[in-house]
Amino acid sequence: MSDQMFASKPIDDIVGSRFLLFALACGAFLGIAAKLIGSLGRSFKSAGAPLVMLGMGTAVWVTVGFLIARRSAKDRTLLDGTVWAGTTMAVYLSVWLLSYTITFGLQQDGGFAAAWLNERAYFIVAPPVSAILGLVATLSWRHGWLGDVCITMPVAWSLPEVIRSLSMGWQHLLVVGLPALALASIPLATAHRLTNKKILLLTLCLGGTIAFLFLRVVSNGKI
Amino acid sequence: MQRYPFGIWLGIVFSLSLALSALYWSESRLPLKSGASWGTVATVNQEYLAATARLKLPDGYKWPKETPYRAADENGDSLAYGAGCGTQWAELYWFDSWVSVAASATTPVARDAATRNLLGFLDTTAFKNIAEQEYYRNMILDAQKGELSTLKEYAGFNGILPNGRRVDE
Repeated sequence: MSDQMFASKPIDDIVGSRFLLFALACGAFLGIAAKLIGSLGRSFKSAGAPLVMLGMGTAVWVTVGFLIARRSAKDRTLLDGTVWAGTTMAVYLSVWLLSYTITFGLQQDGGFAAAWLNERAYFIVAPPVSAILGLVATLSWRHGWLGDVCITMPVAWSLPEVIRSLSMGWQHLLVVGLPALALASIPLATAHRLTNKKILLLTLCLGGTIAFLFLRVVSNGKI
Repeated sequence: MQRYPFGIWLGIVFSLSLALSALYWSESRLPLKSGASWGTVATVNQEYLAATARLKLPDGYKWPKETPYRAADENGDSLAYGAGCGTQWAELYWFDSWVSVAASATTPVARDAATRNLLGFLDTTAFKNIAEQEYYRNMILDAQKGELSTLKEYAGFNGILPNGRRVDE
């Protein structure tokens, strides 16, 4: 009976579910870690500014989720990959936000309600953003110009934070900029394919600008 | 269409539930913990909305949708605000609106009605926290007696037009 049940379950579903669970665990752990890193930075006053920036950053934390989601989309059809990667990303982002908000609520005077109101714009945009990133993750496995655009996207959305850390001194670059750039470059570095330089440049400019504007709107709670 | 495992549906429902909850539980619906000494822009706007419900603006005036306070600075860093910030902003907006009406009233009846409203400012949180209490108190009490020179001078700098713009903007 149990053999029959196991045999009827596609191997893809088992692997995908493992990524889903891994994303959930990572989201829960990293959400708390991000808030605590920021708080630790604050306790060092001005010397801890790079840690505060890392804790409050977006690129590094989103890229971690994207890397997990991308793995879950490997060798899948476009629809299948988008569903798996999109859901993995949505679970990661939602759990990350929830654990970040709960930690935030426990730390500050205003409690969970104030922390929730501060982060609610991010909760609202998480599902649509995850769906888009799921599609990007799936397409990043493909060859051709669209694949090149998608594989460059993590670097593009990390660019605003990398440039900002560059302008704030070497400590910021070391703690925020370089880790963000290193993580975002993993898909490009491991792809073993030549990326069209013009497409790469265009994606970096356009993707970086869109990421910068989008985060400006969301961080101000204008949703 | 391919059948997806239970985990996928659970993940989608979980993420969407949080997003819908965030849409529903906004500033106007979520009670904040009382006694908090620092809050976010959400706290400020919630206080502001609560204050606008109890303060009546002059005819033709409208409350701005939200306070000018922002969630983050130019660098994207979150900003924290002291408790009472939103309440005091609403109270000052309310006071400055009535000052403008009193200063520009063309009939004694309209002016007296407007200056009577100014007395309420002496009971507000904004007045209790203002540095120049004596200046405001004298201006309000003088206005009750028909002495409007300080009030008109104040309105010239801080007055609010019915469209919500400051006179000096």
